[in-house]
Amino acid sequence: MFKMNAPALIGILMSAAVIQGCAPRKVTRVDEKQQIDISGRWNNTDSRLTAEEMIASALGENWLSEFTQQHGGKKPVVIVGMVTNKSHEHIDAETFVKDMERTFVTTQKVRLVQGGAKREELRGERADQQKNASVSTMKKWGLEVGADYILQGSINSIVDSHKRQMVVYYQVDLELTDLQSNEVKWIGNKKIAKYVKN
Amino acid sequence: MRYCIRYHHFEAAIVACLLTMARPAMAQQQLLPDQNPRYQESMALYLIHEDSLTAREGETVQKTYKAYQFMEAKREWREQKRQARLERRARGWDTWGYPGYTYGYGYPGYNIGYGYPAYGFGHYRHHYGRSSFDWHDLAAVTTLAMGAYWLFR
Repeated sequence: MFKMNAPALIGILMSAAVIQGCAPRKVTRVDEKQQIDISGRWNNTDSRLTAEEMIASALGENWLSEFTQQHGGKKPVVIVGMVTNKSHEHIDAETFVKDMERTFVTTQKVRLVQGGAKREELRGERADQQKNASVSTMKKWGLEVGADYILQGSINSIVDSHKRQMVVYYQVDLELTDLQSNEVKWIGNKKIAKYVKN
Repeated sequence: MRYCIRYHHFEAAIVACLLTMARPAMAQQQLLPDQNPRYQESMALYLIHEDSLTAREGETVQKTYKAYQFMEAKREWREQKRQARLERRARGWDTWGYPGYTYGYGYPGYNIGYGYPAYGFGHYRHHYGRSSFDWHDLAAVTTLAMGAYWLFR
């Protein structure tokens, strides 16, 4: 009959711990839509859900049809402004805002103009062309498309935790404001609540 | 000579004024349909900075951030602890027991429960008072205790 004494058991456990520590890391590709929650922090699923909700709301509400009716079938031109992250985590809004932008462009329901640092680079390139490009290919100044609406937003969070339990609530708000009248034409929001137990 | 300089200044000022007055008229003549009449203001501004604005074309701008990873944080925390221990060793034993020094001050095991279970590893730990239990303390206390025992037995 096999008998295991205490030193042998400790030895086996320690060996197992060492082997576990030396185990190679395993990485597998997963579907981008697969929900994998590890830490309870903001992740790709939250970004995707936010993008889906915002896109459906932005393209499905009245502001779009109103604009096209009032402007003889013209599509509204949108510039993406600032999104402020006021939550407790690092969240990059570009992941879901870019999804929205892409849908605007691919569906051709909303026109998009470049803003921020990219616009500065564009103008820098145009300025460079004034001195270096041939006259026939040189792009002219003062012919940019002016935006009708600006898209701005904020990300807020509320954390409630006690001992090993935590509830995290995220609220992402995006709004479209008429640049002529300052009138807010659309507000989309996505609320996400998570219960985390350690 | 003074008169000459003054005359040249006056002349330059007149030329500048004439150019400034003539520019909008010239711009008006050359405007394309729907072109912004003040485009030259923007163009003048960007022509000054075009080098810096186009210098990074084709480059990937790295605006990365350090994501929180449990294992990485744990490793860093251990390394930090190891460094602190090495520094204490380098300082030597002569500073032992002086109030205000980290070494030998506080209670073993104190402060190890400061972490919030929901939030990571070591974020809230080891910031207040003594860092953690140290084998140096155990050795020192044992030595003192044995010395006292041998003296007073």
